Parts: sequence; C-alpha cells; structure tokens
Amino acid sequence: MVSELKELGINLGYRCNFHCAHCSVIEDPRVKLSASEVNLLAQVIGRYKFSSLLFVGGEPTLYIDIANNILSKAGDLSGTSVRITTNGHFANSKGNAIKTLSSFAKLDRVQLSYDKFHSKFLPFESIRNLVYACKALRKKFNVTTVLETPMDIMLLEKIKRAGKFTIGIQKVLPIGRAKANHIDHPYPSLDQKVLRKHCPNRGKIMYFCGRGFSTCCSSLVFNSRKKDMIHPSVALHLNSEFYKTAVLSSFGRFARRLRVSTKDLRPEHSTPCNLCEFLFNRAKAKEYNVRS
Amino acid sequence: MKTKDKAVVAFLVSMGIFSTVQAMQYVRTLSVGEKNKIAVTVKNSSHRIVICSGVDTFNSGADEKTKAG
Repeated sequence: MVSELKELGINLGYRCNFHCAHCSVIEDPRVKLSASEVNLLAQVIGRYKFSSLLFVGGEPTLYIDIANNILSKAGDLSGTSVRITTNGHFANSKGNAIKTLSSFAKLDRVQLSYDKFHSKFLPFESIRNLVYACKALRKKFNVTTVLETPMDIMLLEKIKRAGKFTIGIQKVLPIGRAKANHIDHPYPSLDQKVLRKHCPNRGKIMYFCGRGFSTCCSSLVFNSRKKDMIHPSVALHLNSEFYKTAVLSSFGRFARRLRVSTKDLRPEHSTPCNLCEFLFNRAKAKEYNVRS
Repeated sequence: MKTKDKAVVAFLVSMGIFSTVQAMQYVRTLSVGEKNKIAVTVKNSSHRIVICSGVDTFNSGADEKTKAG
C-alpha cells in the first residue's frame, strides 16, 4: 500500500535504566509490547511499507528480543531503514557497544540522546565507544541534544570532541517528568509564525505499547491522555477527526476550525507541541466542536 | 546592536532556537560573559546541526532546517 506515512515509531516498552529529570515518558515501566501487539505491528509494517522504522522506549536496547521478533515477522525490509533512539548505557566499552548493536536483526542508524540531563548517567567515553562501534559496523550515528536554555548550546563544544557526526537540537518540552519538575525552555515573547506551522510529526505515526497508534509523539499522548488522538489501528487514526484537524491543518487553521481564540496565546506557545496541546485542551473544554 | 550581538542573534535563529525578534530580546538579557561563550560556540561550530521540533523528529523533512558549519 502506498502510504502518506513515511515512518513508524514503535515504543517497545517504558522501562529505562536512566532517570533523567527532563524525560517525557513517565509511564508504568512494567508495560511492554504483548505478543498480539507484536503481530499487529508486523502486519502494519508489511502493509504500509514504511521507509523508516524507529524503536524507542524507555530504553529500546532493553527490549532487543521484542524488536527482533517484530523485524523477523515483518517480511521484506530491504527498502526500510531501521533506527533506535538510545541512552547508550551499553557502550561502557567498544566491545559491549559492538555486541549490543550487533544483536539487532536489522539496524541502520543509532541515535544517541545526550544532553546535560543524560550526561549525569552516561560517561562521555561511552559516546566515543558508540561512534567507534557504529563505524566498525557501518551504521549511521547521530546525537540529539535537548536544550533547557539557549546557554546549553555550549555542550556542543564537548559533544563534538567525541567525533564527527550530525547533532540534532531540540528544545525541552514540558511533558512527563519535565513537566513534573517544572523544566521548560524560556521564550521571551510569542512567535506568531507558529500559527502557520504544521505538526512536526506529520508523515509519521507512533505506536505506544498498551495504548495504540497516534501521530502525536509527545504532548497530547503523555500529558492530555485523552482517547481521541490515539487509536487501535492506523486506518482508524488516519480517518479520525483528530488527524484531519490537528495533524493535516496548520495550527492557525486548526484553531479556527475548533473556534479557539488565539488571543490568549502565551510565549511558550511559540513551539508547535505546546501550542497544539493548548488548542486541543481549549477545544476539549468546548467538547471538541469542529466547524464543518 | 553590536556586531557580536548580531552574530549571536543569527546563530540562535539559525539553530531554530528563537525567531529573530525573540533572539534579539533574549540577547539583551545576556551578560557580556554569556554572549562571549555563545560567540565562541558560533566560531567553533563545525558539526552538521539539524533542528528538531517535537520529541523525536530527527528524520522529518517538513520542519527541519540544517546548518552546515
């Protein structure tokens, strides 16, 4: 099937061996994919022919057997790139890094989460070990780093000493543990241009173990926890009012359709995920009345 | 606005951290020492930087800009 979706992200389970203060995920660590969910995901991968699969957690390397089970049942993955987002805990030596990464039935890219929060748990030398292992195994490697304030950009100076690779920058979002710990990126004023933007996760879909499919990978799923944005099948999600309004529309259009005023927007709504959550919650307060 | 301030503003905007107006407002709140620290990062930036929105959007094309330093 030709799909508008390019990537499927799979949340294998919520267990993690780090306890970062800014983590968006504060779910029950005992929850992981069931056998029926593994079969469902294998069928979905076979049907939609995603160009990219992403395994996340928790920490995905704690669930390699489940990931391999999905990969083995999914059929031909020759046209699919597989990547993980990891905390790198296993890279305490070059040998262990190679051994863990080699355990995946298919893996093309390793994305390391490293910032001032992760640095409290991951020795810097582990980044070098991961870079070495990825080079030895011919896997792509990048780092994503989260900024609590713009001054955190100074950490780039340290990270780049680990090797030559791409660095992804994200601003911390008030989701999950970050929200509980009052960790949020400051905004001096509202950037009205955000109203012309779309959901940054458009073209992707996530599966959250024990819950279902959603385009939203963060604010609505982990903070609002409403049922409207998460569905038991991809088809139901793509046909949902949530997908048609929140995902396909620009945020300005989304606000107009929901009859939500943008006059009350605050500086922190300059970022799409914060704005989306604000609009959706305001709309929910009005029983989600969509203007037809 | 001094040349160094403009460089810091341009860097913060190119990183996707702020809009131009927000960056100018933010830079006004920084001390000279803080501006110098960012300026050093600007000068030494040589990695390819990808700007991500949301929690995990590294591969998304729609809302990313790249900066090849």
